[in-house]
Amino acid sequence: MKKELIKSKSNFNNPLKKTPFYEKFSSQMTQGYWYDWSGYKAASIIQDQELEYFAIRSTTSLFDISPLIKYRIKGKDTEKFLNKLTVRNVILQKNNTVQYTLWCNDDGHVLDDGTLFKFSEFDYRLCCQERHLPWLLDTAIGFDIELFEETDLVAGLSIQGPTSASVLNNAGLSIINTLKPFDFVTIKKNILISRTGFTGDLGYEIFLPNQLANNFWDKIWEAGKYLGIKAIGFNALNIARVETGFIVANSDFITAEHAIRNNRTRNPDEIGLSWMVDMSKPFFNGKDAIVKIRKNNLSKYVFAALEIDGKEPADGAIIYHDKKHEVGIITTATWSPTAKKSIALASMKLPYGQKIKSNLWVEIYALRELEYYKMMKKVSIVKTPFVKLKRRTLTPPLKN
Amino acid sequence: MKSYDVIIIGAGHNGMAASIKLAKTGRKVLILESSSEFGGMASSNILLNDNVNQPLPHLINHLCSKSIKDLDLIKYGLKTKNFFIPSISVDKNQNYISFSGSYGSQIDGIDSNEKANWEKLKKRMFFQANLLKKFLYKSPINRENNSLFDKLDFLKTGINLRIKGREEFQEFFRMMLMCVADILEEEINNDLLRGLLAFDATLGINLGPRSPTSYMGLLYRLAGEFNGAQGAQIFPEGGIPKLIETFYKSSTSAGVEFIFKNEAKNLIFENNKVTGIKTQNGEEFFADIVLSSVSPIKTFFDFIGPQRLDTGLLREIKSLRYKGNVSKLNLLLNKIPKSSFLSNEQLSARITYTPSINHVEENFNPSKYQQLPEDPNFELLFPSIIDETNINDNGIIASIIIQNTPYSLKDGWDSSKKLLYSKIMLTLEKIFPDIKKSVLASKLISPLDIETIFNVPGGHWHHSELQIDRMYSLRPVFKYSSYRTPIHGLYICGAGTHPGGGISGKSGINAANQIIKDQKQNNHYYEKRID
Ligand SMILES: Cc1cc2nc3c(=O)[nH]c(=O)nc-3n(C[C@H](O)[C@H](O)[C@H](O)COP(=O)(O)OP(=O)(O)OC[C@H]3O[C@@H](n4cnc5c(N)ncnc54)[C@H](O)[C@@H]3O)c2cc1C
Repeated sequence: MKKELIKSKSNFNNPLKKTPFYEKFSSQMTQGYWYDWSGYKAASIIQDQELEYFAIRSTTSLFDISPLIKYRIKGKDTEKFLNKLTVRNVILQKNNTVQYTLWCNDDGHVLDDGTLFKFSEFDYRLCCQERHLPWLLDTAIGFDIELFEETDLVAGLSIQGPTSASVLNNAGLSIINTLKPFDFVTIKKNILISRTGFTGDLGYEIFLPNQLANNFWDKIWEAGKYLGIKAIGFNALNIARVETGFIVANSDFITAEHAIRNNRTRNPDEIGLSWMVDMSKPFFNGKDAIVKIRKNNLSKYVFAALEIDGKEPADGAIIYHDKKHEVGIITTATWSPTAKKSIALASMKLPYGQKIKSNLWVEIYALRELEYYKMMKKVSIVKTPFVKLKRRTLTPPLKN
Repeated sequence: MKSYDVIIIGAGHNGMAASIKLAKTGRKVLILESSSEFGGMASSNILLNDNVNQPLPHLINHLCSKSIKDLDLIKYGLKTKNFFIPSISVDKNQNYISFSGSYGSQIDGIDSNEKANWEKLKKRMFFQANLLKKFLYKSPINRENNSLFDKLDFLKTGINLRIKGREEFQEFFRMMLMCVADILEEEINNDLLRGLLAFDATLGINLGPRSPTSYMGLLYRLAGEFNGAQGAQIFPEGGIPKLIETFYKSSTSAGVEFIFKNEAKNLIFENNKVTGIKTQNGEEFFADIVLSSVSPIKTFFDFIGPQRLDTGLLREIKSLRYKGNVSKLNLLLNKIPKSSFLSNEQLSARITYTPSINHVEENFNPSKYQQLPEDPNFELLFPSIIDETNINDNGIIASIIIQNTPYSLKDGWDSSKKLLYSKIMLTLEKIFPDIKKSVLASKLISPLDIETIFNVPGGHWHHSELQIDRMYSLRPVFKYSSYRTPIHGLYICGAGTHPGGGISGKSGINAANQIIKDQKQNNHYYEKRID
């Protein structure tokens, strides 16, 4: 009996959960590339990575974001609480908008990044990669709020691409036409549509109660029939997000609670997110530490966006200065089909990447039919995004 | 607007110690105290009847000569004539051993073999206590306080230790984390002696003699000194009230202002810098420096507040163990009690009811389940017999400290007090057959009472549990063991900081030194006052 209990409680022994959109995606799946996203079965590729990428950039893509961890925060002290938790000032955020944010531990090291949906000053939703309930609950001590996880209650679908606005209009959702980037609306049946996404393209994200998922999908699919709608997996999305210069926790930096080694944690300045930190707030978790870090120049790393000569993907490659000294590592790299360049995100050891930006090289090992080709390729530091699209921000949105 | 250089919260002996150090540098110091008296847990707040009172503490063993000097206590009335108090460990069958000098330098009631065993063990323990002493009274070395000088000092101690020989060195590390019971059973045989040492190792903390690290409690006690006599327990002439009065006199003479019956309520701070304090009745007092001598639980939760604490720190503070387990029974007797086996002279000793290690352990066990012990251990002192200047027309005081009486009781304290009283009486009658009849007045103070009377959450002897995981640079928490807090200008002293509770004044002195050092670095200049 007791053993039974333990077994049923242990997530590690359970099969991965299926999202409300699972049947829709799996029925199109020809490849069988699944991965574990926060305990959910999530697709890496549905049919063809390249075609899926081009759906994002040329037509419309559908990506299942149901596994995103979602917390709901309500009550009198919601904003005070969020202002302690996160580094940005939520009071400045407007109702019905989404804010990209991050939060730190006592040492000013990043615990995670995420998006904050503001319904009102007393009601927010926080979406992120990792689970943080104990941290959130302990942070809530002394605040009059109610906080609960709604990951399993709310399904999410990301609709991205140049025809996405047209698809939604076809589906009768013309209400989206007035949405500027980072705005959202809540329509009847508690369906939330935000003009957000991880692609740097025109696009929307829908959050809706689980039981509406199937019908909603059918409606969208029907509406997109002649607009090139396509179900996609994470791999295609990943290319688009690198092109935009978005970082992913535990891929481009190690979150503080995941890091086993002392020097793997990163403060916001070290991952290129210093702009978020609002030092004019009287207090937030990690502020004391960040003050000290900045005052004494204790940051050791800098985030860099790189363009690499040639076409070889440079994932995980070491960056050298003068072809001799190791000065950093590439965290994510890809061939950008839109920029037609080999691009990468990297973490570099200061002062390289900040004061010293030239004479930088990467060493790439390309495996070609069981033989390695070793190359030193020149890299240059550039600004993100690698791919900048006007249609991303145009309001009303482009319709074709 | 009332403004000061330093405002100290709490007129406990640590608050007063800090005030003396700070006022002597010319700083204008205010002490805000919630009760009507100075002395905190060592104040004479507890009335036995209309005319007689007896504080919680009755002996001291942590007031070192340097502190006495630093605080000018002799100048303000601390008598050099002090009483070294022997201990007599008794059981219910009229057996006893007597233990005198500074921690058992003479010992009666055991045979010569056992004496030799004891001598050997004592030598080793004192050697180790001496090492500990090097760290005991100084500010902890930590992330922030680690000047070259501090580090060298630390290193020197390490080298000294090593020079004493490999064997002693290894012995120290072997024994440091052990339970006191294993060590005693390894080295000595007499149950009463073992029982006494087991009691001394665990009094005031939530450990039994068979709990790992309980030996540290004994070392901590032995590392203490009173005016140069190490490991000695002292009854200061005139008792604790007189001693505490010298703190007060020294403090007021240094120019410190006291305000009583005014509880500090909220810290006033701006941009992470303290500017003052608001009291319960709405008054505001301003200063660049606020020093809180109250429990760290209160300082962090009530004064700074959870909203202003980094979550990791908040977790640490929340996890501090602060529930006390020591009660006090004060009795007023109509005459000197007659013992069936102890001489009148022996009534000037500390009499402990600590028959064996197992007895002390069995006392500890129920406390884990919020229950009272079957047959409580205690120590008993007759302050008015020890010191004739302390004699009182109203009667003879018996001051009894009872171990393992937890703050939270399953049956609640209201209904348990009578039971505890009768248990103690039962044992006392075995020593003093007629004692019950001569009780004129009695007062039993539980940890719960201590919490209310003295404004100490949990009523803990040390404000917060003093075990190895919360000693030295881990006290009260690692990040703030330098007597600082996350708010600039807000400092902490009091038993919850290093070196912990007991009357030593060291937390106050160390915190004051830290303040002086910090202000010097920030280019504050205070002229030294010329007396
Ligand atoms: C039963 C018992 C027996 C003991 N026996 C001995 C003994 O024999 N020998 C020994 O050395 N030690 C003994 N101790 C321990 C000793 O009494 C304490 O460790 C010591 O007195 C602590 O001193 P302190 O100055 O650090 O704190 P405290 O004495 O607790 O002083 C803190 C002061 O702050 C005040 N305060 C609290 N909150 C506020 C507020 N918000 N505003 C203003 N003021 C406030 C309190 O009223 C108090 O006066 C005993 C303890 C107990 C419980």
